[in-house]
Amino acid sequence: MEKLTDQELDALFKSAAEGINPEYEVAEWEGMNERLNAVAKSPSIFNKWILLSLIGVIIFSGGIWIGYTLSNSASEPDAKNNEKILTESKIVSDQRVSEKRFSPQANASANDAKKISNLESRNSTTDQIQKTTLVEKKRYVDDEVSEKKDVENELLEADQEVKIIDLHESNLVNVYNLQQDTQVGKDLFLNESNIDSIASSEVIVKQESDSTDVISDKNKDNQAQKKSLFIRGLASPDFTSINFGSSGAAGSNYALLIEYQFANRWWVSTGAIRSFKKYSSNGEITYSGRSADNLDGACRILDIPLNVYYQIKPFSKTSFFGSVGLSSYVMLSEDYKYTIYTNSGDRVYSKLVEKENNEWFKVLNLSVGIQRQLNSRFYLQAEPFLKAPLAGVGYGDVRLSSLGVFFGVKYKLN
Amino acid sequence: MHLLIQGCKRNDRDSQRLLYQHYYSYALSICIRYSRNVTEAKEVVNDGFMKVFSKIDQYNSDSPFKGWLRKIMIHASIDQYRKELKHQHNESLKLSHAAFTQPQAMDDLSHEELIGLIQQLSPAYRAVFNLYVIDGFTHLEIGKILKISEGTSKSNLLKARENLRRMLEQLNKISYGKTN
Repeated sequence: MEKLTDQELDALFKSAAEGINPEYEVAEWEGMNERLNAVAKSPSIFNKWILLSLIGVIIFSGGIWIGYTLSNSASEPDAKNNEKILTESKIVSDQRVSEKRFSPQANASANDAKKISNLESRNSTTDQIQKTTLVEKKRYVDDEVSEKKDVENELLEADQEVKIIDLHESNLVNVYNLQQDTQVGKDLFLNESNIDSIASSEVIVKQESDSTDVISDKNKDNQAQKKSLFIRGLASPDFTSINFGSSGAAGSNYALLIEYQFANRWWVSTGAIRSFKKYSSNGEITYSGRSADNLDGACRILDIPLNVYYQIKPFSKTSFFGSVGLSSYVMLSEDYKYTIYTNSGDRVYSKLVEKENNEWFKVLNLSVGIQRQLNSRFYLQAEPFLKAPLAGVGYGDVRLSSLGVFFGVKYKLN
Repeated sequence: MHLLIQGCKRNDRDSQRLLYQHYYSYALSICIRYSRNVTEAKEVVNDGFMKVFSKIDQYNSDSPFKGWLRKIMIHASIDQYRKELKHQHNESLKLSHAAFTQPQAMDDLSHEELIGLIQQLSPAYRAVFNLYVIDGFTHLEIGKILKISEGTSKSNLLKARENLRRMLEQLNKISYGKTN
């Protein structure tokens, strides 16, 4: 058998290509018409605008947060906080020393201080100390009235020590010391004959109490604004459909997420969700450029969410939260079966695609949730969620929407 | 034709339908050579017409519409070729060949058989053979379109021809054609 030359071979196939004349089928236009309708209903520019708007919101929120963080760090650095606490302590101490120095009733002795100290040690809390009656305090003061100046000097030294301790001890100890010291001072102001001095000491107590309250509030704020990192383990059923149509059998989601709390009420979350989605559509749909009458899909997806959360009642044991964000889908496997009804019977086509499609930020995440704090580190969560399509995903370019409820545990890392 | 194109520019659905009907066979005759089967070719045709309708404002009415359409269909086919390269290892389309071989689908069986041989080539060989032999592109142009070197294009063409010859021999058609 003689072989064809290149020219002969080319001419043979060229003539075949020019001679082929496939017939037009009316059904073909129907598929095309649906595609044109789909484009007209949801133009891609609309999706792009939604996406751009969401990105804008996220960037805007991030900007606000950065600005807020920077302004806080500029106005309230730790050193300045300490300085402020020192100043407040100094004012209180100076007031007290001044009272002691110039008050004629300042007749306490070292022995008094010792006895009071013993009393205080018996009474373990400040509240208990405050409950000690003024009469008892007067009796301690009446016992000895000598060595006034020595006591004054000792008190001055003690105040200085307290100030130093205040700067280095924990906030709780700081408050406690101030209150104790106040009590010591208050006792020493007592005089056997001058009950008025009690009133004046009460004023000092009030002043100091106010100061400690301020300090205590600041400490609480500082503690609350501490940035924290959390890890979350979640699982949920998954009900997926095409464009919010009827969903098929339930799939599943397993998530491992990291959360970063950057403000009292705000945090961001990302991580990985291993998702198995099943869906089917009985309605006529356009699938991969074809008009199909039925589609069954089963996809394994690695969902990478990026969400911003807002928490209501952040300091309560039970709190509520809401979130918004975007998801990217790494399509691990896509198994499609689509059916086209024809006069000669149903034609079933199957297609399996593995690790071919990555869909970045094409799904909108919305959720609300409830959180229950179990202890200082563990939380329980329930989070109903909705995943809305911003564009078609996967080989079939299907607009997947998903519903479900995440249940899980959150653990505070720091 | 001018009125049809003007109607398409206004997104008039009737005009789009008439244009589609008028050029459907021509478009499919191009895409079918680049595809593995008729089903896939029809998808590509629709992809191509979507481009036609969305970019019809860019069409210059001084040049023939058929030529412009041809270019779009070839590029749509090349897009499909790229997808095919991604999916060729994991894909199975059932009944597609059966659909192609329906007698009423094609008038000329010999042409159908020959196009069927082109469809049996690997995607890379098929694309180069079509672009060079039938659509008249140079190897330099093919290299740019398919993002391969000129040498690879020539090599693929050589192998495509060899494969086609072998397939023709298997069909025992060559000797029959020579003797007649």
